Amino acid sequence: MVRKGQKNTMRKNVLRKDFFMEIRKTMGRFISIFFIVALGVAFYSGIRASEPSMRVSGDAYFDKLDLMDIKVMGSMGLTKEDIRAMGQIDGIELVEGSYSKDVLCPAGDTEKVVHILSISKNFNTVQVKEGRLPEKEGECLLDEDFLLYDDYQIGDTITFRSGDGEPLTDSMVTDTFTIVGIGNSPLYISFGRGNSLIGNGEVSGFVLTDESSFDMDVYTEAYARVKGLREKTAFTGEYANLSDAAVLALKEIEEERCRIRRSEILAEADEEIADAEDTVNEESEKLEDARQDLEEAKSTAARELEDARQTLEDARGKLESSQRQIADGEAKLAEGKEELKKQQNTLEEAEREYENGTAEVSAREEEWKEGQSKYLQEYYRYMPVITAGKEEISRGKEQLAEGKKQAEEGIQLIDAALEPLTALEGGLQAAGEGIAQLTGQISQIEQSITDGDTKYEAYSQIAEADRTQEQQEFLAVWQEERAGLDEKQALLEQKRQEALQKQTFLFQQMGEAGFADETALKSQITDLKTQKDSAVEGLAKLGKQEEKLLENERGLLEQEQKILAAGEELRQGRTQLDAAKEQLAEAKNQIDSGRTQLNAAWSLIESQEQTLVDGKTELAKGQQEFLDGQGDYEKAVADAAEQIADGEKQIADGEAKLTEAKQEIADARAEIEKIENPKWYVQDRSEALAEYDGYGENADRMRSIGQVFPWLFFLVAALISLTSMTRMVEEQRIQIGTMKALGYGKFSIAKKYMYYALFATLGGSIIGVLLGEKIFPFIIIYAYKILYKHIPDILLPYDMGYAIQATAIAVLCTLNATFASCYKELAAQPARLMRPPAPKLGKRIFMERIGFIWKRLNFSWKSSVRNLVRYKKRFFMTVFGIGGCMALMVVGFGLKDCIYEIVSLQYEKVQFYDAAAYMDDDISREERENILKYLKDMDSVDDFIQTRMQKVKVKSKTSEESLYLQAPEDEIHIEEFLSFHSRTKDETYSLTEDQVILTEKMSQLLDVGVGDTITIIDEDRGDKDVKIGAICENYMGHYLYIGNDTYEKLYGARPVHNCIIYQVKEGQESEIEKIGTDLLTYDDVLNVSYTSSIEGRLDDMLKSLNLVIVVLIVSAGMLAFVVLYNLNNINITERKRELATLKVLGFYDMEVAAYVYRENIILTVIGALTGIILGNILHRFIIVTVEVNEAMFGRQIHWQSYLYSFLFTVGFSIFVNMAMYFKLKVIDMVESLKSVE
Amino acid sequence: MKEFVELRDVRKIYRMGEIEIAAADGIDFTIKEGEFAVVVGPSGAGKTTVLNILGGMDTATSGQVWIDGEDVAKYSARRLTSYRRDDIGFVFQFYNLIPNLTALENVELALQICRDPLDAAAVLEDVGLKDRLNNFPAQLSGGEQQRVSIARALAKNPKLLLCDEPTGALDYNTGKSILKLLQDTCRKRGMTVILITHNLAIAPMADRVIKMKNGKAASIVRNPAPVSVETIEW
Repeated sequence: MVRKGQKNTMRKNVLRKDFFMEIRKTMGRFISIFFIVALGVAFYSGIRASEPSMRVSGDAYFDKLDLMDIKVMGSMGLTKEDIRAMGQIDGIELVEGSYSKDVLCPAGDTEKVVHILSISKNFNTVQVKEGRLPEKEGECLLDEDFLLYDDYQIGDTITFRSGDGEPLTDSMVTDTFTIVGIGNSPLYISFGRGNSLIGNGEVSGFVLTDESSFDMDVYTEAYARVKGLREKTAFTGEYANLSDAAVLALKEIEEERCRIRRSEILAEADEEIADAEDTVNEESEKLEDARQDLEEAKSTAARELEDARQTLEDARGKLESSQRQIADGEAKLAEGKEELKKQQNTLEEAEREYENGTAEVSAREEEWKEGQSKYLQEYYRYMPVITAGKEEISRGKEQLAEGKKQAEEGIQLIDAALEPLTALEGGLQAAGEGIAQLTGQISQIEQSITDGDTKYEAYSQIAEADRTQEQQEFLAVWQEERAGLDEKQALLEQKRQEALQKQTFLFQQMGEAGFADETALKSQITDLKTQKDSAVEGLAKLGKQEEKLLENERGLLEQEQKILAAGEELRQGRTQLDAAKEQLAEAKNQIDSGRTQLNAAWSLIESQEQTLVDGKTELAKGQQEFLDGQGDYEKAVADAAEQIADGEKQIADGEAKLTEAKQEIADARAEIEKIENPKWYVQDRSEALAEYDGYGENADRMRSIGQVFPWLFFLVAALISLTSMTRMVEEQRIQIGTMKALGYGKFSIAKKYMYYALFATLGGSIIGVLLGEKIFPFIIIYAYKILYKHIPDILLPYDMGYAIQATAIAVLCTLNATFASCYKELAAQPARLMRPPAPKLGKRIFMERIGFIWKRLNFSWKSSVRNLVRYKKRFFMTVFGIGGCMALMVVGFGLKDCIYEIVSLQYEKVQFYDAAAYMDDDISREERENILKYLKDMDSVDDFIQTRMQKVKVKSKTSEESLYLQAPEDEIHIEEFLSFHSRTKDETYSLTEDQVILTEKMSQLLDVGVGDTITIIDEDRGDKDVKIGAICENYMGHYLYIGNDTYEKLYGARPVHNCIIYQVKEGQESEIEKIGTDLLTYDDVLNVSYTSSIEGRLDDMLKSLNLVIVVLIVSAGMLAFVVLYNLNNINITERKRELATLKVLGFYDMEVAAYVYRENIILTVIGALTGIILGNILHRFIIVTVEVNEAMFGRQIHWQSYLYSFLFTVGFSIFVNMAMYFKLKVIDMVESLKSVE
Repeated sequence: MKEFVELRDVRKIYRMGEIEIAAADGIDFTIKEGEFAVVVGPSGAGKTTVLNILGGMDTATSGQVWIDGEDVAKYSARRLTSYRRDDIGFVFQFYNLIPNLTALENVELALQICRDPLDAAAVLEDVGLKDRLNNFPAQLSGGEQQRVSIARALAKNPKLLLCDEPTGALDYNTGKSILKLLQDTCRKRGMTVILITHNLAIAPMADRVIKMKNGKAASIVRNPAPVSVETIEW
């Protein structure tokens, strides 16, 4: 046995060693499973654990601060006896009375409602953030959150104002408080502070004071602690049960206590009324006395006043006459002054002229002097020259005259010598010519005689007979003629002799004169003539010289003339100047005398003026005296009137007060008659505290989410295990075969793989639980702390239940997958296992038949597509993984879309009103009309309608819920404020046709549809059944709209309208609250709620969603990473040979990477598309699950959300692929040479 | 004929921690263009190292590797990839076909990255696979697969055809037919073929026989009269 045991141990050791070696060798694979399991478990246990964590954190906070369990309020307060009675009830551990009051507190420009509370010793401990708790009256601690509205600081004082018309000091010791501390209260865990009957109806903060600040006879409320509740966790069923029981117990003593309270109040009131009546009677007597006194005083005053008036009138007459005199005097004086001024002007003008004249004269004199000096200069410079010139000229003239005479004498001499010579020459010439002429004539006659003799002889020879007539005649005459000719010739000869004689005589004369011949004569004559000519010329020259001389003389004379003229001018100027000076002197005299006269006139006028001024001063004095007198008189009149009026008013006031007092007494009597039994309001935490329930609901919501999300991770974990383990088993088939051949049993062999998966899974689970149960609840509660910021500590206890659940699910998933993957191999024969696996068939796929697509693909694409089809497990793993990643993000973004949407959907598509004002059911007709009139008159109000709004319980066959029953005054008009339409179908409804319309979410909660009947529960008037006519879209709250006719049929009367909804005109939104504040001043308006504040609160709440989305994105990223890493890991190790071959063929690194990536890309895209569908389904489911009962979320995911999710998914994929690139790069080509494994 | 392939004192030393192992310890040999060279030797003689270095799958630690006038030993990693891409045809012992592609597609796969390829279908026809173009590797016999592998190498129109034990995974007859195909290719196309084997019986069919021993080329024998494959028996 021992040996066997040893053997066993040894075998185990070997196997164990192999096992751990295996893990080390395949770390990537191990980590994949480990990691995805950790993710899934963390998600599952973490989100589920958030719910208890939230509850525990909340409960711890409440317990620490002693939050009350039950709050009791009395409509007429609670007496000490009431408190004692409550304390005696079984199950109630402790009761404490407390005071509170809603008041208006200034905050910035507005007033906000705050709730003043007294400090409770045993309950609701306030956490002081700054300063200290109030210790005496007039001190207070301010709500930390109220600082949002105004910047109050410790040491500041606040003066509160009552909002209900009664002075605050009626119920408080003081209305002014000093802030001594700032803090928060467990009564208010979030932003809501509840509602109020004053101001705008909404409480904005609390103020804590000491009890001594209140001046009230009775407590306003009491806080109670229930035995055993402290040990229970808040927001659980256990807590609720115990709390409900205590509430019932308290309600049991209500009736008795209230009766007692009423009788007390009545007794008190009666006493007060009696006192008041006595006072009224006394006052009325006093008033009558006062009236008589007043009448007397009136008549005395009238008399005195009349006298005074007369005196004043006289004085006025005198004053007026003296005033007139002064006015006359003033007018005259003014005239005189005017005249004087005129004369003075004239004088001044004359003076100015005189001065001008003087100036001109001296200027002229100056000029004259200058002229004079110039003249003298010129005179002495030119005059001597002129005189010398003149003398020279007269000398020249004498010389010329002599020259002329000489020349003329010369000429006469020449003429005398020339005359005989000329006559001689002339005689000679004439004689010579006469001789020549006579000689010529003689020779002519001789010729003629010769000619005639010749002819005669010629003719005489000719026979007589032969002679011609002419010849005959000639012969006949010729003798005679010849005789005449001879005679003539003789005569002429004689004459010639005479001429010769004469000539000789002349020659003789000439000789005598000394001339040898005629030529000498002639040259003598020529000489003489020449001499004469030169003498004549010299004469002419002299004439010219004379002319020039004359000209010079003229110039000199002219110049002399000029100088003399200038002298003359100077002399005249002097004369003029002297005359002007004389004139000026005369003018000066005149001016001086004028001035003297004027001065005398002025002094006269001045003396007159003084007289007038004196008169005026006197007049003014008189006037002032008169006015004073008049003022005194008027004041006396007014005083008298006022005194009388005062007296009268006092009397009237007194009367009014009396009447009022009487009325009050009457009213008080009437009211006492009306006083009903007081009422108690017993509230548990969820009723009493504004945001308490919301916290619990948020915790529930987390549970719903935790139930859905993690399944995706488990699914992917199973798929990853399946692919990884399948691959592992395939890799080790030879080893499996060998082991089998060695004789190991199936179980022993399978154990290795099962343990492998179990190890990874358990490891992942432990890490997942450890981290998940801390991180997720922390993030979620942290996110919620935006809402619940005063909860200080986040408690994160490990929740073993969820941890075990999660681990069990994970183990189940992975072990199943592992078993499935090795089952087939284990069944096979060892021999078959030892052989290499038959290569996988390359298969033709469907797409190859679509030729036009297939042909376009290149070979790597073809290979990738065929691969996808071949490895189905991987395909599904990746598609689910990536799809899950995408889906998570779609859900995250989609949640935000849908939840954010409801505010806008509700107030844009369904409800159009801005506010609702709730009125007392017992409101008087008058008051109602006043309110309606106010709204009608308000310009900013666009529209309003009355309606009945009542919270009722309804039940269907399956469940019971509560909703608002709403019956509007007008079934058509209400459609201005509400839209009744279907969300899914394109239908609208109307109250007139359908009569009863239920909102969608409620129909789901009640599980009813159109035509079904639901029951309205009413304890007073009995349960009534109604049939649903239509179901309408609605997102917030639940309503059952009902028509007037149906209502009347049900209850036998028209509904009493207790609510007015109104909307303001566009652009006047600021008026909404103002109208609400105004409405609250009416006594019977209980509350006003505003759409905008609901919107705002919802927005705050939804901010926490952002963090949830971040968590989802991070988780999605991790999911994508694990899946893609695993896929790539498998792909690369499995195809090492193929990739090495590609490298040997000469593919570059990038080309090899692309070959692998192609598959990843296709898978990512397919995964993302799947994710859209998956996400949509998941989202639809989660939205419904997460939904709170009070609201219906939107259902539509916006396209942007898909886009963001897709981009993130692709981003993750790219990241992983990049990381894988390096793994691809180091693949050794030598791998291609190895044999097939 | 010129020296087409020349190895000069090629060494490849692996460092395993403290110890150095010389896989190639100064190899020298030459091969002329168009020769059918056989590198033979026992396991561990350095055959595969020679193949890796010639095929650009590994670099020598020292020495020169001249291929067609260029020293491949000096190439960068990227340059080596282009060298494999354009200059080398590789025939693997285990064919190394892409299982998801048909015979034709496997050949075309290599061609899509090649500069000056031959027609894939024609080459397949040449290697005698005219009728099996559209079969997947799993549908082909070993000999047929090796033919596809040869066709894939040839279609790239390489300078050098490197064959790593091409008959190692084949039966006798098929192996012979593959050798015949390689010899014919060498003769017809003038392709330089280097065949690596441990089977000395193949030696007579080669133009040149390089015997490896202990990381060195122990003998280089030029065979003036290579015989036809048909006449060889082993």
